[in-house]
Amino acid sequence: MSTEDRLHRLMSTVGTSDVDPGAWSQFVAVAHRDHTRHRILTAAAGITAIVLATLGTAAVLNLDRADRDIPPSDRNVVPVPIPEDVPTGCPTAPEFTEGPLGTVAYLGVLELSVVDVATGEASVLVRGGGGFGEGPYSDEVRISPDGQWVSFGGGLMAPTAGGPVCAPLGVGVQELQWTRRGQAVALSDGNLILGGPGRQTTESDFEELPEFRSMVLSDDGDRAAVAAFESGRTTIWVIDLGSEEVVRLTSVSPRDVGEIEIAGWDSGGRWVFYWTKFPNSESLDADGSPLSAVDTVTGDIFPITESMISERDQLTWCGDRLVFTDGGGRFVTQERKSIAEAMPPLWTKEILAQDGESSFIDPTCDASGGSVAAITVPVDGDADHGALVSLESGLDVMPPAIVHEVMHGFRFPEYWENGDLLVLEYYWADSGDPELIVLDEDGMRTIGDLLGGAASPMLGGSPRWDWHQP
Amino acid sequence: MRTRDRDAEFHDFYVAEVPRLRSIALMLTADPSAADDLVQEALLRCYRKWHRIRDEDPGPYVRRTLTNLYRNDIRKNIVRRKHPPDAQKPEPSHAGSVEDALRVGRALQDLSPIRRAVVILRYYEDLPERAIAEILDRPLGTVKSDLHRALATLKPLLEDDPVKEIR
Repeated sequence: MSTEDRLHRLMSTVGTSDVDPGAWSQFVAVAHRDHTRHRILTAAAGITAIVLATLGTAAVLNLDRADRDIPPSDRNVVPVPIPEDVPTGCPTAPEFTEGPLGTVAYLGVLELSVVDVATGEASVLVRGGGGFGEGPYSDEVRISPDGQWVSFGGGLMAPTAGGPVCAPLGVGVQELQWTRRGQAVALSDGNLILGGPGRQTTESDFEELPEFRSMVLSDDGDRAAVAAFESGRTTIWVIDLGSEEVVRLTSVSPRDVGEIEIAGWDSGGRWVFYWTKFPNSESLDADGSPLSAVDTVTGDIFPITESMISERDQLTWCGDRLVFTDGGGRFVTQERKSIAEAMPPLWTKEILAQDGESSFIDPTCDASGGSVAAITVPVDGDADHGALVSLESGLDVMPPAIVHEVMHGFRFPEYWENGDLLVLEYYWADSGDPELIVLDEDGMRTIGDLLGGAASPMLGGSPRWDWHQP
Repeated sequence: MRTRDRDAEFHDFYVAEVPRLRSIALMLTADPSAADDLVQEALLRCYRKWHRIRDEDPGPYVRRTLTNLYRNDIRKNIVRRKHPPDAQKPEPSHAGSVEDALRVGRALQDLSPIRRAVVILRYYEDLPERAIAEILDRPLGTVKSDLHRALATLKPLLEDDPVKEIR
């Protein structure tokens, strides 16, 4: 008899239980209470914190928005469509008197939503294709420093309090980012364009310069590092947004160097990091590119690693060092990635977390830069046992301490203001939508579903969510 | 949808599904209290979403929810927090069926949670691999691999008469 037959036989010994006649009435009573409780949590946002403190379990917080009976109120935002001709003028106060509806923004397919982390309440701000047809919104989603605006879709902006969509810099811009003072900066037809809601829009006139293709603002937002592309060669420039002074950092690249993408800045604004793409390559950005640092003072270049995923969410500045995911490959476990760090001035790579059985991705730092967290996933194909790990600060290689055992599909941890970690669960969410989860001293709490959020276990592509804290 | 209408519709689904769901939960958890919690929570979630799932076949949905909840519970220990060991629970009224399911559940404890679920759905529910893949939102190839590895793990245990061996 085969093992399968034996298993069938074993299972056949298990019968079924009759339903206790009283069980249904008990269930209905619980279900009605449960339904009412959900409505209370939804409607009474002002007292939700107290309710959560009393009930605080993941089950209670796992709200089902689709089934709520929300009484009409001023806070219920009717999702706005994107008009065919998006106006450049943006709505102004008093639309914002009630404040943002959420501090975590995310893109679903043809939906832009925000989630209030305190309540788990999700509000759809924008729904509909407009000029996008049936395709998904493009480009990164980013919340403005004051939390009032979400940019998405290549220049579109929506108020986080709900309201009409506008495009103060125009539509089809690239690399839109916010300065600390709330100014939006983007690339438009190879030029730099600045503006934002309630601001005058200006486009820099650098006619003598090559076409800008990649840009990252310095942490203070005063300068932009751009990669300029001309005749198959790329150079890196730094532009002072106040004075419009332009400095070329690198000489013209040789022809066997492909396009360059700016990866980021150090927090002090001295170093610019960039990836060198392989020329004529059909590979994805996530397949791995060399990372280097260039000194904005001397122009000296230091190679940091030969191959990493060229995605900006795979590197982070931690106090006095760069922490990044080392190793390429578009799949999480490909090339058995490690977490590495490098410090100026020599930028010698040191491995923070690596082992023979796991891949490490998604490093993130707390505000002090002293704590690093990352996701680790076993590479043996058994996706059940991922973990969120904390890594020792400094250059000593320490075994990662497992903070939370999680399943494969947890991605993008971010430290919240109180030291908690926000994390997205992509794969095993009950509803099929990614879940927003908070990890704190008591364990895990599901905040809510990111309804319609794209589930993607692969690396690469524009970030589809962003979060804001004052 | 009015609450009364929902209750009437859901009642038929409840009566039809609870017996098998409870056995599945018992085999997954090998713990009657945890099994009852799992079944109730899975059904509550179905009840909340009834207007969305009623027109499709809600059977796979409730099985997927049950197995996901079980795996989440392994992770989050929710059920154990809700029901500490000294909690007073009424004895199950169908001790024979419960004991059989618990015995099988204990036999499956060497398997990872997902493989336990795959085995139960395949050999207790008699579901084809493709249906299991859909319920568990898992690639078909991975489900096949899960079954292969699970059988390899269970083989020594099942080499003799499984019923006698495990009793």
